[in-house]
Amino acid sequence: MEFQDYYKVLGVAKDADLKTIKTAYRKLARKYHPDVSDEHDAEKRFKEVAEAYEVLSDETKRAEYEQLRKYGHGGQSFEPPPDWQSKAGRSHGSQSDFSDFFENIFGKGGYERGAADAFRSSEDFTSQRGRDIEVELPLFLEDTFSDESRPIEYSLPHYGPQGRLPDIRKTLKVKIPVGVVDGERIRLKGQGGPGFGNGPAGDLFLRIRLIPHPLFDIAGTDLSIVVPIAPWEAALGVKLTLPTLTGKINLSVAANSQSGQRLRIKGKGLRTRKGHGDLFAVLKVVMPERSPAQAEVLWQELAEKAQFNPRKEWESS
Amino acid sequence: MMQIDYSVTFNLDDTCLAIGSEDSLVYAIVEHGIIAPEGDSPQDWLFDLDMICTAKRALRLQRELQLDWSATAMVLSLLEERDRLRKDNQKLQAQLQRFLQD
Repeated sequence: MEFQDYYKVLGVAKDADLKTIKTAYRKLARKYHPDVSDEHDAEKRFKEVAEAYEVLSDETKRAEYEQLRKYGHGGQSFEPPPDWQSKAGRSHGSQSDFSDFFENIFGKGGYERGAADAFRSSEDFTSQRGRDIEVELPLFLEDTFSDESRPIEYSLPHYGPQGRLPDIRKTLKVKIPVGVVDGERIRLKGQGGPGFGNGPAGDLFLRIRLIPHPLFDIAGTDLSIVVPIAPWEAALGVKLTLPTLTGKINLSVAANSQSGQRLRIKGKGLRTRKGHGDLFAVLKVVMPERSPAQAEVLWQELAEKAQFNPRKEWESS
Repeated sequence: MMQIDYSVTFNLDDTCLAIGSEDSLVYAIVEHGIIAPEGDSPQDWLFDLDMICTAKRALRLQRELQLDWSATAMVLSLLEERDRLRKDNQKLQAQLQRFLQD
């Protein structure tokens, strides 16, 4: 296992006092807390910081760590002396997965200890609820219309009499309820980490993530699609075929429509628990890249006859 | 196959079990307006899944950032606001790109 340099993790000097250590921890915890942070490795960094703080903020643990520092340096492979035994133990309520280094020096945490006790003696049960597990579930917009069940694969922690073993993969077939929205969580009771002793299993939470669509944008349960139209279609109106998530429909664009105008098509948005959201067609007037000479003449004629100044508002200022 | 019951609600005992905490912490979370269960008195309280997730998040923040409950409530409401604005911004950027594209 690798020796952990806790002073380096917290960015404090070897002789830092408790106040300095606390301040450094609070600062880094705010920066890397997975509920707050945007850093890509926030969870890993937060665990390192929490582990360093657990050791350096506790007088006994820090003294023991100081003893061990004589035998190892940060980043190097490390084995504690054969007769090593910690007096400190792990703080009550500490639930993080700490490093192998920590667990070898200060003992295993609640989960592992609970598991080991439960296996060792049926009279000495330490009941503990299993851990909740959260898994992201990416869904195509089209999938939100399907009633088919889909397989969900995830990793479950696994424990033996000696402590934690490699995770096991589990697959569940889940029917995604109608009307799920982006970011919503679905709970599957008892499908999370195993409980210890008489403790129940934790829950599995599926967090829905709607995958961006090449044509449609999502706003709650409504969808929107940009509809390119030619300038003469905007002027004269047009009947066109519009794609929706469930097939094509006919759409009439009125004469004298503006670019950016939104047309509402009721009930063609996402499915909701009570019905459907709406689809908004947003018009976008598009000029041809090049016009044939004959068309140029017509544009010229239009410019002369239309008597339209789009910048009229500027004249008054 | 797993069936999901959407109308699932949790009473106070279920909530304590789901978030792995004592009821005193649930009282604190409710008192600080972090979640607002339906029902007038604790024995009538009903929590939904969103509230359970928010309560779990509140507990993590309170414990791991060593915050008091008022600060936890404020952090959560600012985080919520930040997430909402980010989502709005992403949505508007995507729409703008579609409009500005060739």
